[in-house]
Amino acid sequence: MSPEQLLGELEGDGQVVVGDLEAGIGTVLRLKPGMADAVVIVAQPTAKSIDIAARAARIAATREVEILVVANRVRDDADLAAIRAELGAHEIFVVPDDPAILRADQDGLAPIDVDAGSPGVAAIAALAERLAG
Amino acid sequence: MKIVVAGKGGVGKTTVAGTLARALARDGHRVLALDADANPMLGISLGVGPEETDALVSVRQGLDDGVTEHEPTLEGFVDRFGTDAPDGVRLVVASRIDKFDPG
Amino acid sequence: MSERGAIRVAVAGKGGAGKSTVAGTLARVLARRGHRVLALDSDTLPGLALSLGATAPTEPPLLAAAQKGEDGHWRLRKGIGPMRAIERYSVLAPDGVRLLQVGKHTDDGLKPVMGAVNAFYKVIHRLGEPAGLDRWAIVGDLPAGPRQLAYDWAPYADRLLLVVEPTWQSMLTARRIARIAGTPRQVAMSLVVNKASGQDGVARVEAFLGMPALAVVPADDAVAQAERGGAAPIDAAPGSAAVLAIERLADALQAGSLTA
Repeated sequence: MSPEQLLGELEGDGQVVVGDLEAGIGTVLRLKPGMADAVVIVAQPTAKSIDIAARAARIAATREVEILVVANRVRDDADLAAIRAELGAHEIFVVPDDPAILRADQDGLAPIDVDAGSPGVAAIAALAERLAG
Repeated sequence: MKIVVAGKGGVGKTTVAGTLARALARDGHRVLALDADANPMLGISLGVGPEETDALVSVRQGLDDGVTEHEPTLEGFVDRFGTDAPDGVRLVVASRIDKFDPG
Repeated sequence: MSERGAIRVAVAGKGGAGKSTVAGTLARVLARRGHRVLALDSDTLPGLALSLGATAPTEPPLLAAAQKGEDGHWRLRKGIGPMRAIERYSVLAPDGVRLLQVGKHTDDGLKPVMGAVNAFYKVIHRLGEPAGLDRWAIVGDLPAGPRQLAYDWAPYADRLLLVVEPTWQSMLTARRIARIAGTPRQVAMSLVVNKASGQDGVARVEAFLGMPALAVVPADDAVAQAERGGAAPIDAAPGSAAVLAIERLADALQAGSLTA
Protein backbone atom coordinates (compact mmCIF):
# COMPACT_ATOMS: atom_id res chain seq x y z
CA MET A 1 0.00 0.00 0.00
CA SER A 2 1.53 3.32 -1.05
CA PRO A 3 1.40 6.32 1.31
CA GLU A 4 -1.12 7.91 -1.06
CA GLN A 5 -3.33 4.82 -0.91
CA LEU A 6 -3.07 4.84 2.86
CA LEU A 7 -4.15 8.46 2.80
CA GLY A 8 -7.09 7.44 0.64
CA GLU A 9 -8.19 4.84 3.21
CA LEU A 10 -8.14 7.25 6.13
CA GLU A 11 -11.32 8.90 7.29
CA GLY A 12 -11.64 12.56 6.35
CA ASP A 13 -14.94 13.22 8.14
CA GLY A 14 -14.70 14.50 11.69
CA GLN A 15 -10.96 14.83 11.62
CA VAL A 16 -8.28 16.63 9.69
CA VAL A 17 -5.49 14.54 8.22
CA VAL A 18 -2.27 16.38 7.43
CA GLY A 19 -0.06 14.29 5.20
CA ASP A 20 3.66 14.93 4.85
CA LEU A 21 4.51 12.63 1.98
CA GLU A 22 7.55 12.24 -0.25
CA ALA A 23 9.37 15.36 -1.34
CA GLY A 24 9.14 16.21 -5.01
CA ILE A 25 6.29 15.79 -7.46
CA GLY A 26 5.76 12.05 -7.12
CA THR A 27 3.07 12.58 -4.51
CA VAL A 28 0.80 14.79 -6.60
CA LEU A 29 1.35 12.46 -9.55
CA ARG A 30 -0.02 9.55 -7.52
CA LEU A 31 -3.02 11.47 -6.15
CA LYS A 32 -6.33 9.92 -7.12
CA PRO A 33 -9.85 11.15 -6.35
CA GLY A 34 -10.70 10.71 -2.67
CA MET A 35 -7.14 10.77 -1.46
CA ALA A 36 -6.94 14.45 -0.58
CA ASP A 37 -9.17 17.50 -0.46
CA ALA A 38 -6.39 20.08 -0.54
CA VAL A 39 -2.75 20.29 -1.56
CA VAL A 40 -0.49 22.83 0.11
CA ILE A 41 2.52 23.48 -2.11
CA VAL A 42 5.54 24.94 -0.38
CA ALA A 43 8.13 26.98 -2.28
CA GLN A 44 11.16 29.02 -1.27
CA PRO A 45 12.38 31.90 -3.42
CA THR A 46 14.95 29.76 -5.24
CA ALA A 47 14.89 28.81 -8.89
CA LYS A 48 14.95 25.08 -8.09
CA SER A 49 12.10 25.04 -5.61
CA ILE A 50 9.88 27.35 -7.66
CA ASP A 51 10.34 25.10 -10.69
CA ILE A 52 9.23 22.04 -8.76
CA ALA A 53 6.38 23.90 -7.04
CA ALA A 54 5.05 25.15 -10.37
CA ARG A 55 5.21 21.63 -11.75
CA ALA A 56 3.40 20.26 -8.71
CA ALA A 57 0.71 22.93 -9.08
CA ARG A 58 0.18 22.09 -12.75
CA ILE A 59 -0.26 18.42 -11.92
CA ALA A 60 -2.46 19.08 -8.87
CA ALA A 61 -4.73 21.24 -11.02
CA THR A 62 -5.79 18.10 -12.88
CA ARG A 63 -6.60 16.24 -9.68
CA GLU A 64 -9.69 18.11 -8.43
CA VAL A 65 -8.15 19.31 -5.20
CA GLU A 66 -7.93 22.73 -3.63
CA ILE A 67 -4.50 24.22 -4.16
CA LEU A 68 -2.82 26.64 -1.79
CA VAL A 69 0.74 27.90 -1.88
CA VAL A 70 3.07 28.69 0.98
CA ALA A 71 5.88 31.08 0.06
CA ASN A 72 8.45 30.14 2.69
CA ARG A 73 11.47 32.12 3.93
CA VAL A 74 10.48 35.24 2.06
CA ARG A 75 12.72 38.19 2.92
CA ASP A 76 11.53 40.95 0.60
CA ASP A 77 9.27 41.95 -2.28
CA ALA A 78 11.68 40.51 -4.82
CA ASP A 79 11.43 37.09 -3.16
CA LEU A 80 7.65 37.18 -3.20
CA ALA A 81 7.58 38.42 -6.78
CA ALA A 82 9.72 35.47 -7.90
CA ILE A 83 7.20 33.05 -6.40
CA ARG A 84 4.19 35.01 -7.64
CA ALA A 85 5.59 34.92 -11.16
CA GLU A 86 5.08 31.16 -11.37
CA LEU A 87 2.38 30.53 -8.80
CA GLY A 88 0.37 33.75 -8.72
CA ALA A 89 -2.78 32.07 -9.98
CA HIS A 90 -3.15 30.43 -6.56
CA GLU A 91 -3.79 31.79 -3.08
CA ILE A 92 -0.37 32.40 -1.51
CA PHE A 93 0.37 32.41 2.22
CA VAL A 94 3.62 34.22 2.95
CA VAL A 95 5.85 32.81 5.68
CA PRO A 96 8.67 35.31 6.22
CA ASP A 97 12.19 34.37 7.24
CA ASP A 98 11.44 33.79 10.88
CA PRO A 99 14.06 33.59 13.66
CA ALA A 100 11.68 31.52 15.79
CA ILE A 101 11.42 28.85 13.11
CA LEU A 102 15.19 28.86 12.57
CA ARG A 103 15.74 28.47 16.30
CA ALA A 104 13.21 25.66 16.41
CA ASP A 105 15.14 23.77 13.72
CA GLN A 106 18.42 24.27 15.53
CA ASP A 107 17.02 23.13 18.87
CA GLY A 108 14.75 20.34 17.63
CA LEU A 109 11.56 22.02 18.80
CA ALA A 110 8.18 22.71 17.25
CA PRO A 111 8.06 26.30 15.94
CA ILE A 112 4.67 26.77 17.60
CA ASP A 113 6.28 25.95 20.96
CA VAL A 114 9.18 28.36 20.42
CA ASP A 115 6.86 31.30 19.63
CA ALA A 116 3.22 30.80 18.69
CA GLY A 117 2.93 34.47 17.78
CA SER A 118 5.94 34.79 15.49
CA PRO A 119 5.14 36.02 11.96
CA GLY A 120 5.93 32.67 10.35
CA VAL A 121 3.86 30.63 12.77
CA ALA A 122 1.02 33.14 12.56
CA ALA A 123 0.98 32.84 8.78
CA ILE A 124 0.66 29.07 9.03
CA ALA A 125 -2.09 29.47 11.61
CA ALA A 126 -3.92 31.68 9.11
CA LEU A 127 -3.52 28.91 6.54
CA ALA A 128 -5.02 26.45 9.02
CA GLU A 129 -8.01 28.71 9.52
CA ARG A 130 -8.43 29.14 5.76
CA LEU A 131 -8.34 25.39 5.17
CA ALA A 132 -10.57 24.06 7.90
CA GLY A 133 -12.21 27.06 9.47
CA MET B 1 -10.69 16.95 5.54
CA LYS B 2 -7.49 15.56 4.07
CA ILE B 3 -4.56 17.85 3.33
CA VAL B 4 -1.32 16.94 1.58
CA VAL B 5 1.78 19.12 1.84
CA ALA B 6 4.06 19.04 -1.20
CA GLY B 7 7.29 20.63 -2.37
CA LYS B 8 10.97 20.14 -3.13
CA GLY B 9 13.00 18.61 -0.30
CA GLY B 10 14.36 21.26 2.02
CA VAL B 11 11.82 24.02 1.33
CA GLY B 12 10.15 23.65 4.70
CA LYS B 13 7.41 21.20 3.75
CA THR B 14 7.69 19.25 7.00
CA THR B 15 7.96 22.36 9.16
CA VAL B 16 4.81 23.72 7.51
CA ALA B 17 2.97 20.39 7.86
CA GLY B 18 3.83 20.04 11.53
CA THR B 19 2.98 23.62 12.42
CA LEU B 20 -0.23 23.36 10.40
CA ALA B 21 -1.23 20.25 12.34
CA ARG B 22 -0.62 21.93 15.70
CA ALA B 23 -2.50 25.08 14.63
CA LEU B 24 -5.48 23.02 13.44
CA ALA B 25 -5.53 21.19 16.76
CA ARG B 26 -5.51 24.48 18.64
CA ASP B 27 -8.47 25.52 16.48
CA GLY B 28 -10.34 22.59 17.98
CA HIS B 29 -10.03 20.00 15.23
CA ARG B 30 -9.22 16.34 15.73
CA VAL B 31 -5.92 16.01 13.88
CA LEU B 32 -4.06 13.02 12.47
CA ALA B 33 -0.56 13.79 11.21
CA LEU B 34 0.69 11.30 8.66
CA ASP B 35 4.43 11.12 7.99
CA ALA B 36 5.05 9.11 4.86
CA ASP B 37 8.31 10.73 3.84
CA ALA B 38 11.10 8.22 3.20
CA ASN B 39 13.06 10.24 5.73
CA PRO B 40 10.50 10.80 8.51
CA MET B 41 10.98 14.03 10.48
CA LEU B 42 7.44 15.28 11.09
CA GLY B 43 7.62 14.49 14.79
CA ILE B 44 10.22 17.21 15.34
CA SER B 45 8.01 19.95 13.85
CA LEU B 46 5.11 18.62 15.91
CA GLY B 47 7.08 18.93 19.13
CA VAL B 48 7.65 15.25 19.84
CA GLY B 49 11.43 15.70 20.16
CA PRO B 50 14.28 14.67 17.83
CA GLU B 51 15.45 11.41 19.39
CA GLU B 52 11.86 10.35 20.07
CA THR B 53 11.04 11.10 16.44
CA ASP B 54 13.94 8.97 15.29
CA ALA B 55 12.75 6.07 17.42
CA LEU B 56 9.17 6.00 16.11
CA VAL B 57 8.05 2.74 14.58
CA SER B 58 6.63 2.87 11.10
CA VAL B 59 3.17 1.47 10.45
CA ARG B 60 4.52 -0.24 7.40
CA GLN B 61 7.33 -1.76 9.40
CA GLY B 62 4.61 -3.13 11.65
CA LEU B 63 2.98 -4.61 8.58
CA ASP B 64 6.27 -6.21 7.65
CA ASP B 65 6.60 -7.62 11.15
CA GLY B 66 3.28 -9.39 10.66
CA VAL B 67 1.14 -7.84 13.35
CA THR B 68 -1.84 -7.29 11.08
CA GLU B 69 -3.88 -10.17 12.38
CA HIS B 70 -4.46 -8.33 15.63
CA GLU B 71 -5.76 -5.15 14.00
CA PRO B 72 -8.40 -5.85 11.36
CA THR B 73 -9.28 -2.26 10.65
CA LEU B 74 -7.02 0.39 9.24
CA GLU B 75 -8.21 2.84 11.88
CA GLY B 76 -7.36 0.35 14.61
CA PHE B 77 -3.98 -0.17 13.09
CA VAL B 78 -3.33 3.54 12.93
CA ASP B 79 -4.54 3.87 16.49
CA ARG B 80 -2.19 1.17 17.66
CA PHE B 81 0.89 2.52 15.95
CA GLY B 82 0.17 6.18 16.47
CA THR B 83 2.02 8.42 18.90
CA ASP B 84 0.66 11.30 20.87
CA ALA B 85 2.00 14.71 19.98
CA PRO B 86 1.18 17.96 21.84
CA ASP B 87 -2.29 19.54 21.56
CA GLY B 88 -3.81 16.08 21.07
CA VAL B 89 -2.37 15.58 17.61
CA ARG B 90 -1.95 11.93 16.74
CA LEU B 91 1.14 11.09 14.65
CA VAL B 92 1.49 8.05 12.44
CA VAL B 93 4.69 7.26 10.62
CA ALA B 94 3.99 5.32 7.44
CA SER B 95 7.20 5.32 5.49
CA ARG B 96 9.18 2.34 4.41
CA ILE B 97 12.31 2.84 6.45
CA ASP B 98 15.02 0.64 5.04
CA LYS B 99 16.10 -1.65 7.80
CA PHE B 100 19.71 -2.73 7.82
CA ASP B 101 21.11 -4.92 10.50
CA PRO B 102 24.36 -3.27 11.60
CA GLY B 103 25.46 -6.34 13.48
CA MET C 1 39.82 6.52 -5.10
CA SER C 2 40.73 5.05 -8.46
CA GLU C 3 43.81 2.93 -8.98
CA ARG C 4 45.70 6.10 -9.90
CA GLY C 5 44.59 8.02 -6.83
CA ALA C 6 41.92 10.16 -8.43
CA ILE C 7 39.22 11.73 -6.27
CA ARG C 8 35.99 9.73 -6.20
CA VAL C 9 33.27 11.21 -4.00
CA ALA C 10 29.50 11.06 -3.69
CA VAL C 11 27.63 13.81 -1.89
CA ALA C 12 24.73 12.90 0.37
CA GLY C 13 22.46 14.68 2.82
CA LYS C 14 18.99 15.85 3.62
CA GLY C 15 17.08 17.80 0.98
CA GLY C 16 18.05 21.44 1.11
CA ALA C 17 21.28 20.86 3.04
CA GLY C 18 23.30 21.96 0.01
CA LYS C 19 24.41 18.74 -1.68
CA SER C 20 24.16 20.12 -5.21
CA THR C 21 25.84 23.35 -4.19
CA VAL C 22 28.78 21.53 -2.63
CA ALA C 23 29.02 18.94 -5.43
CA GLY C 24 28.71 21.43 -8.27
CA THR C 25 31.13 23.94 -6.82
CA LEU C 26 33.64 21.21 -5.93
CA ALA C 27 33.51 19.87 -9.48
CA ARG C 28 34.25 23.31 -10.92
CA VAL C 29 37.06 23.91 -8.43
CA LEU C 30 38.74 20.60 -9.27
CA ALA C 31 38.41 21.28 -12.99
CA ARG C 32 40.09 24.66 -12.57
CA ARG C 33 42.96 22.89 -10.87
CA GLY C 34 43.53 20.80 -13.95
CA HIS C 35 41.60 17.65 -13.10
CA ARG C 36 39.42 15.99 -15.67
CA VAL C 37 36.09 15.93 -13.92
CA LEU C 38 32.99 13.82 -14.37
CA ALA C 39 29.98 15.17 -12.51
CA LEU C 40 27.21 12.64 -11.90
CA ASP C 41 23.70 13.83 -11.27
CA SER C 42 21.60 10.96 -9.91
CA ASP C 43 18.76 13.10 -8.62
CA THR C 44 15.53 12.87 -10.60
CA LEU C 45 14.76 16.45 -9.58
CA PRO C 46 16.78 19.44 -10.88
CA GLY C 47 19.77 20.70 -8.91
CA LEU C 48 23.31 19.89 -9.94
CA ALA C 49 23.23 21.46 -13.39
CA LEU C 50 22.34 24.83 -11.90
CA SER C 51 25.09 24.64 -9.27
CA LEU C 52 27.57 23.71 -12.00
CA GLY C 53 26.53 26.52 -14.26
CA ALA C 54 25.61 24.01 -16.97
CA THR C 55 22.67 24.15 -19.35
CA ALA C 56 21.03 20.78 -19.47
CA PRO C 57 18.64 19.88 -22.30
CA THR C 58 15.03 19.13 -21.36
CA GLU C 59 15.23 15.66 -22.85
CA PRO C 60 17.93 13.61 -21.12
CA PRO C 61 20.73 12.75 -23.57
CA LEU C 62 21.08 9.25 -22.10
CA LEU C 63 17.66 8.37 -23.43
CA ALA C 64 19.39 7.72 -26.75
CA ALA C 65 21.83 5.33 -25.11
CA ALA C 66 19.22 2.87 -23.92
CA GLN C 67 16.91 0.39 -25.54
CA LYS C 68 14.41 -2.13 -24.27
CA GLY C 69 15.17 -5.73 -25.06
CA GLU C 70 12.62 -8.37 -25.98
CA ASP C 71 12.62 -9.46 -22.35
CA GLY C 72 11.37 -6.02 -21.39
CA HIS C 73 14.61 -5.07 -19.68
CA TRP C 74 16.48 -1.90 -20.47
CA ARG C 75 20.06 -2.17 -21.57
CA LEU C 76 22.70 0.06 -23.07
CA ARG C 77 22.61 0.06 -26.86
CA LYS C 78 25.21 -2.01 -28.63
CA GLY C 79 28.57 -0.31 -28.70
CA ILE C 80 27.74 2.05 -25.87
CA GLY C 81 29.98 1.52 -22.87
CA PRO C 82 30.80 3.97 -20.09
CA MET C 83 33.48 5.84 -22.08
CA ARG C 84 31.31 6.30 -25.13
CA ALA C 85 28.35 7.22 -22.97
CA ILE C 86 30.38 10.05 -21.50
CA GLU C 87 31.73 11.14 -24.87
CA ARG C 88 28.32 11.22 -26.54
CA TYR C 89 25.71 11.76 -23.86
CA SER C 90 27.26 13.98 -21.26
CA VAL C 91 26.67 17.71 -21.16
CA LEU C 92 29.68 20.01 -21.31
CA ALA C 93 29.72 22.31 -18.31
CA PRO C 94 32.03 25.29 -17.74
CA ASP C 95 35.73 24.62 -17.07
CA GLY C 96 35.42 21.41 -19.08
CA VAL C 97 33.41 19.47 -16.52
CA ARG C 98 31.44 16.63 -18.09
CA LEU C 99 27.96 16.23 -16.61
CA LEU C 100 26.10 12.95 -16.91
CA GLN C 101 22.49 13.07 -15.79
CA VAL C 102 19.88 10.53 -14.83
CA GLY C 103 16.43 11.26 -16.24
CA LYS C 104 14.42 14.04 -14.60
CA HIS C 105 10.78 13.85 -13.54
CA THR C 106 8.42 15.12 -16.20
CA ASP C 107 4.80 16.19 -15.73
CA ASP C 108 3.99 12.56 -16.52
CA GLY C 109 6.38 11.21 -13.95
CA LEU C 110 9.52 9.20 -14.62
CA LYS C 111 8.05 6.79 -17.13
CA PRO C 112 9.00 8.80 -20.24
CA VAL C 113 12.64 8.91 -19.15
CA MET C 114 13.05 5.41 -17.68
CA GLY C 115 15.48 4.52 -20.45
CA ALA C 116 17.78 7.31 -19.33
CA VAL C 117 17.41 6.30 -15.67
CA ASN C 118 18.39 2.73 -16.49
CA ALA C 119 21.24 3.75 -18.80
CA PHE C 120 22.62 6.05 -16.11
CA TYR C 121 22.48 3.32 -13.48
CA LYS C 122 24.30 0.91 -15.76
CA VAL C 123 26.97 3.43 -16.71
CA ILE C 124 27.79 4.40 -13.12
CA HIS C 125 28.30 0.75 -12.27
CA ARG C 126 30.83 0.37 -15.06
CA LEU C 127 33.00 3.41 -14.49
CA GLY C 128 35.84 1.22 -13.20
CA GLU C 129 36.18 -0.52 -16.57
CA PRO C 130 37.84 1.89 -19.00
CA ALA C 131 41.48 2.67 -18.32
CA GLY C 132 40.78 6.04 -19.91
CA LEU C 133 38.74 7.07 -16.88
CA ASP C 134 41.42 6.17 -14.37
CA ARG C 135 42.66 9.69 -13.86
CA TRP C 136 39.27 11.37 -13.90
CA ALA C 137 37.92 12.89 -10.72
CA ILE C 138 34.33 11.91 -10.14
CA VAL C 139 31.91 13.99 -8.09
CA GLY C 140 28.43 12.53 -7.72
CA ASP C 141 25.36 14.27 -6.40
CA LEU C 142 22.90 11.87 -4.77
CA PRO C 143 19.17 12.39 -4.32
CA ALA C 144 18.02 13.79 -0.99
CA GLY C 145 17.65 11.60 2.04
CA PRO C 146 18.90 8.23 3.15
CA ARG C 147 17.23 5.85 0.80
CA GLN C 148 19.17 5.96 -2.46
CA LEU C 149 22.39 4.66 -1.01
CA ALA C 150 20.63 1.49 -0.04
CA TYR C 151 20.15 0.78 -3.71
CA ASP C 152 23.77 1.34 -4.59
CA TRP C 153 23.65 4.60 -6.49
CA ALA C 154 27.24 5.49 -5.64
CA PRO C 155 29.35 2.43 -6.57
CA TYR C 156 32.14 4.66 -7.93
CA ALA C 157 32.68 6.47 -4.64
CA ASP C 158 35.33 5.62 -2.12
CA ARG C 159 34.28 8.55 0.00
CA LEU C 160 30.87 9.81 0.96
CA LEU C 161 30.60 13.49 1.80
CA LEU C 162 27.81 13.99 4.31
CA VAL C 163 26.54 17.52 3.90
CA VAL C 164 24.88 18.61 7.12
CA GLU C 165 23.29 21.86 8.24
CA PRO C 166 23.29 22.63 11.96
CA THR C 167 19.63 21.61 12.34
CA TRP C 168 18.24 18.51 14.00
CA GLN C 169 16.50 17.36 10.81
CA SER C 170 19.78 17.49 8.93
CA MET C 171 21.77 15.80 11.69
CA LEU C 172 19.28 12.95 12.07
CA THR C 173 19.25 12.43 8.32
CA ALA C 174 23.04 12.26 8.26
CA ARG C 175 23.01 9.68 11.01
CA ARG C 176 20.51 7.60 9.05
CA ILE C 177 22.65 7.89 5.94
CA ALA C 178 25.77 6.92 7.87
CA ARG C 179 24.04 3.79 9.16
CA ILE C 180 22.82 2.74 5.73
CA ALA C 181 26.12 3.57 4.06
CA GLY C 182 27.91 1.36 6.51
CA THR C 183 26.45 -1.71 4.79
CA PRO C 184 27.04 -3.71 2.68
CA ARG C 185 30.23 -2.09 1.42
CA GLN C 186 32.39 -0.02 3.75
CA VAL C 187 32.84 3.44 2.30
CA ALA C 188 34.79 6.24 3.99
CA MET C 189 32.59 9.05 5.24
CA SER C 190 33.49 12.66 5.76
CA LEU C 191 31.47 15.45 7.26
CA VAL C 192 30.89 18.78 5.58
CA VAL C 193 29.02 21.24 7.75
CA ASN C 194 27.12 23.61 5.48
CA LYS C 195 25.36 26.91 6.13
CA ALA C 196 27.21 27.13 9.42
CA SER C 197 26.58 30.30 11.39
CA GLY C 198 28.81 29.81 14.38
CA GLN C 199 31.27 27.46 16.03
CA ASP C 200 28.57 26.19 18.43
CA GLY C 201 26.52 24.77 15.60
CA VAL C 202 29.56 23.10 14.05
CA ALA C 203 30.59 21.60 17.38
CA ARG C 204 27.09 20.25 17.91
CA VAL C 205 27.04 18.52 14.53
CA GLU C 206 30.51 17.06 15.10
CA ALA C 207 29.56 15.79 18.54
CA PHE C 208 26.26 14.32 17.37
CA LEU C 209 27.81 12.40 14.47
CA GLY C 210 31.04 11.59 16.24
CA MET C 211 33.05 12.92 13.30
CA PRO C 212 35.26 15.98 12.86
CA ALA C 213 34.26 18.25 10.01
CA LEU C 214 36.43 17.83 6.92
CA ALA C 215 35.17 21.23 5.83
CA VAL C 216 32.95 23.96 7.24
CA VAL C 217 31.05 26.03 4.71
CA PRO C 218 29.66 29.18 6.29
CA ALA C 219 26.15 30.50 5.72
CA ASP C 220 26.70 32.92 2.89
CA ASP C 221 24.31 35.51 1.57
CA ALA C 222 26.15 35.76 -1.74
CA VAL C 223 25.64 32.04 -2.37
CA ALA C 224 22.01 32.23 -1.28
CA GLN C 225 21.58 35.07 -3.74
CA ALA C 226 23.14 33.02 -6.54
CA GLU C 227 20.84 30.10 -5.75
CA ARG C 228 17.78 32.29 -5.84
CA GLY C 229 18.67 33.40 -9.31
CA GLY C 230 19.58 29.91 -10.49
CA ALA C 231 23.24 30.78 -11.04
CA ALA C 232 26.29 28.73 -10.06
CA PRO C 233 27.88 30.10 -6.87
CA ILE C 234 31.37 29.86 -8.37
CA ASP C 235 30.27 32.16 -11.19
CA ALA C 236 28.06 34.57 -9.29
CA ALA C 237 30.05 34.70 -6.05
CA PRO C 238 33.60 33.51 -6.78
CA GLY C 239 35.29 35.21 -3.85
CA SER C 240 32.61 34.38 -1.32
CA ALA C 241 33.44 32.70 1.98
CA ALA C 242 31.42 29.65 0.99
CA VAL C 243 33.25 29.12 -2.30
CA LEU C 244 36.59 29.59 -0.56
CA ALA C 245 35.58 26.94 1.96
CA ILE C 246 34.93 24.53 -0.89
CA GLU C 247 38.40 25.32 -2.23
CA ARG C 248 39.68 24.16 1.15
CA LEU C 249 37.50 21.05 0.85
CA ALA C 250 39.22 20.34 -2.47
CA ASP C 251 42.60 20.79 -0.73
CA ALA C 252 41.58 18.28 1.94
CA LEU C 253 40.39 15.75 -0.63
CA GLN C 254 43.56 16.13 -2.69
CA ALA C 255 45.70 15.69 0.40
CA GLY C 256 43.76 12.53 1.16
CA SER C 257 44.39 11.16 -2.30
CA LEU C 258 48.14 11.58 -1.93
CA THR C 259 48.38 9.57 1.26
CA ALA C 260 46.03 6.74 0.14
